[in-house]
Amino acid sequence: MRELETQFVTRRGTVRAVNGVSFQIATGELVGLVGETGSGKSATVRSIIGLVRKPGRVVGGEVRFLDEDLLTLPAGRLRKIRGSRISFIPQNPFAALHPVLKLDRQFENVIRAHKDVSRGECFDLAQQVLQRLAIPDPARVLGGYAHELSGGMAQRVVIGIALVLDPDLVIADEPTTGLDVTVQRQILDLIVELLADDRRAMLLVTHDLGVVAQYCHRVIVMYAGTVVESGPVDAVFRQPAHPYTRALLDAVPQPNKPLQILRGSIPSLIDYPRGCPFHDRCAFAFARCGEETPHLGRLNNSREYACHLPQGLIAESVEARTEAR
Amino acid sequence: MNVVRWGALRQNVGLTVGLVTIAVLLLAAFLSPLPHNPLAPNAAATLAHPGSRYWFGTDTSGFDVFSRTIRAARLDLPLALLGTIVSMLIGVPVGLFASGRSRTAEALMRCLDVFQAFPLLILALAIVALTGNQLRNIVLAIAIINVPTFIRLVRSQSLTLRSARFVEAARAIGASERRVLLRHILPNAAAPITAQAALTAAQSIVVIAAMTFIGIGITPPQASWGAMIQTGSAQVATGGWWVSFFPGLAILIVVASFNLIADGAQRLLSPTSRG
Amino acid sequence: MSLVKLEHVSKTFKRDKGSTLYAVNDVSLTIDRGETVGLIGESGAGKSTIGRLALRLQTPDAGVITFEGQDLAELSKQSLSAVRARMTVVFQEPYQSLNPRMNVGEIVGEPLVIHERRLGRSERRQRVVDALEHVALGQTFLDRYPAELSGGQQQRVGIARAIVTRPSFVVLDEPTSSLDLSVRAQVLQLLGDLQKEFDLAYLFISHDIHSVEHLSSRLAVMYLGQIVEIGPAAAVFTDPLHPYTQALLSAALSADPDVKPARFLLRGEIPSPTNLPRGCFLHGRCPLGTDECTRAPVPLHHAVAAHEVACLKA
Repeated sequence: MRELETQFVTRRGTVRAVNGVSFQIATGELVGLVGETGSGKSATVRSIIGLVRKPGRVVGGEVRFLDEDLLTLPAGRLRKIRGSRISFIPQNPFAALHPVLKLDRQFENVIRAHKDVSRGECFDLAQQVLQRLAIPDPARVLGGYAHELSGGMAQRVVIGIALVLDPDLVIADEPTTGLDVTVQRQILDLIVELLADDRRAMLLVTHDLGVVAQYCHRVIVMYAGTVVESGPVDAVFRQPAHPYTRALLDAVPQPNKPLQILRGSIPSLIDYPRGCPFHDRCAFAFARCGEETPHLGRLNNSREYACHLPQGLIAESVEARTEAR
Repeated sequence: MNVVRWGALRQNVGLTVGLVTIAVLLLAAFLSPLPHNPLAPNAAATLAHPGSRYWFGTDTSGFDVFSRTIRAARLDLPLALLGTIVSMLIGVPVGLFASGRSRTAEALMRCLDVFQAFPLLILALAIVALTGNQLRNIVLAIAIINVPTFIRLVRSQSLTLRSARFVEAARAIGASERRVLLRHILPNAAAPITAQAALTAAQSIVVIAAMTFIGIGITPPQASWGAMIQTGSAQVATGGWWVSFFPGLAILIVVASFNLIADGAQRLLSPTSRG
Repeated sequence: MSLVKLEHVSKTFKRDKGSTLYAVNDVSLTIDRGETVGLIGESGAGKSTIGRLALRLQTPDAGVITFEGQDLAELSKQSLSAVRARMTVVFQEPYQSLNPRMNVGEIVGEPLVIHERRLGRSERRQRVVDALEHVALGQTFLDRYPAELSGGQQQRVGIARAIVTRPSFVVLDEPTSSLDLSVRAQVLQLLGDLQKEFDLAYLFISHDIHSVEHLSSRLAVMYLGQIVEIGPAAAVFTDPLHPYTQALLSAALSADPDVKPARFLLRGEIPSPTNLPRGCFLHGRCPLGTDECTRAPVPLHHAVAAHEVACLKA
């Protein structure tokens, strides 16, 4: 995917939700997309799968999936891809599952929209995928309704629906937020296992750095609608190049470590600031930061970052120029 | 308490149109001079076609339909508004009370169920027939029909809001039940209540028309849309369409305006209406 | 004398279908002046219910709850209302806990209107501004409405409302769970500063172990309405004695990729609180479980000084 640009036009002015976002996902890779509220990660994801609603519009860029630009595809073709080649796991399983339809029907609806199979075959496929997700007695679960399930179970069912057609890319939007910690671990372990088995790629959108650190291969950090850093998780987390990444890592409460505060708040996406969107909160900012927007540049073969500091924070000579305001 | 954002009025076209229409009609009815005296018929010009002299024509007695149509607003609109206000004055407090958990509240709701099992319009007509042919009985009739609606609405709003987090927060800081009701629950129910008020007003216009149609509450030569439609009904078959048509049109416009107000008020007052 | 004391408190809820939900089962807990007791556990553990019981927003079915030495059950309606000036709460969802039709000044001023009636309008305003300044919000926020504020700002308003009457005890019910990462640290630090300045006691309820551990002097772990372990925060954190605590801590994912989590996982899922297991609540999921564990509910006993645990195997 390259240079994706999504803009939303609302009554108050143009909200630049996604500004020139570019990144790539390779086969079999688990990529974490990290950002806080207002970072644009949800908007980016929706732009990829074509679910941007009025008053928003994608105004620029392209999204290449395998060989096609998703943004220029006709609606019919996009729908075929969505669901069977690219699937989506939403945040709240109970919002994604139909409350009144039995679960086997819900699987059917998805499968038969893309493949011509009988109901019996749908049931078998569904059963198989649920079994892989460690759901006890899948046949009984399929005959029941969504509200009979616990949070963890329901999320597994939703994951099952997302995986049943063997997609190449799975996009998960905070799939474990709201679940208990122990259940979260179980589900994440499962997801990783299933992906590895089938060489699927996944884009995991989350704000939980722990999840990214422990499960993802690569990470993309977004702030105020742009990508500020990306690269292999180990490298980025051990030595962040962008000041925002560093601040985010510092903000995670950890034992035996004093809390580091990041002052200020995210800039308005309507009155988009000049220069680097992070410069007013950055401890390392200098004059150029307020004037010129930094572009995503290469740090090395596998890492990119968007900062005016040459080599970002990795350069030894970098010191905080101002006290964190 | 800043409940309404006046600037948003400009953006809420429907609401503005509705309000302006009603206002204009009321002003015209009370203040402006009318081309012909709505209460003094011109016996020489009965059943005149609509034209430059009598814009909406005249009826069988020689009344100018235009002037009477406007004049009727002097009766029908205030009646509808009064009926709505009375319904609210009774319905809202009772609804708030009924949202409590006491046994009386439960009993009240059951009584209400029974009450609403009757066809209320008939009931209202019956009561008016029994109590006498006076204007205030029309207001009574409207109240009878609409109080249950307000009670239910306010009660259900109140029940929902009672479990809202900010209501729990209010209790946590020590607010009394009364304070919780008046300061927290009621203002947040304002949107649906106002919308319902406008709808009630709309419906009341029709009820009033129904009543004056059958002659309740007015004495000739008072003007009311329902009565006018009645007098014109015989002419429709013989070609004098305008006698019933224009009062009917007036009712339509007023009802539509109230509906626009209801819709606009809902959008304006809901807390989520902030961009 | 402890500030807040819960003794053998239980609370059940009747579900519509006739089943009973055992939210809190025989819990005893004390909180002293100026200290923070962290209460952790997963959803359904009963932590929020404990918070509400301590504030008397719910009444217990069994047990005694005292505040400043007074049994809350014995207070008259007026006295109870007056006590609410001294024990307050900050809720999880900042937007939902603020009345959308009141502006910030009115929200933060309301406790004063209720409890300190003799205050004149300008005096009250001064107190409100003072409270807002303590949470790093300026005077310009007085006229704003909750919908105009960010999540972090809304939570600060909630905190301002909780301290404006100078309470001695604040229940923090998941105060940072709905906030962004970078805002969480700000709010946690704010809470810490306020505690020092006003000598506040906190009951910090959360499912995020790391946030709790930061402010807490003591830590209590709940499972299915019971406290399974309680002790000094550092001790519980570094040397958890109860298998559930161990599982909970190991399930937390560190943001440091070098730190690999220990794989101490429990089998299965949490049973429903309407159907409590016999004996030790954790048996069936616990790798250490034996028959002994099913015989009777396990009480808390002292393992090391001040560190209690409810496990036969610890």
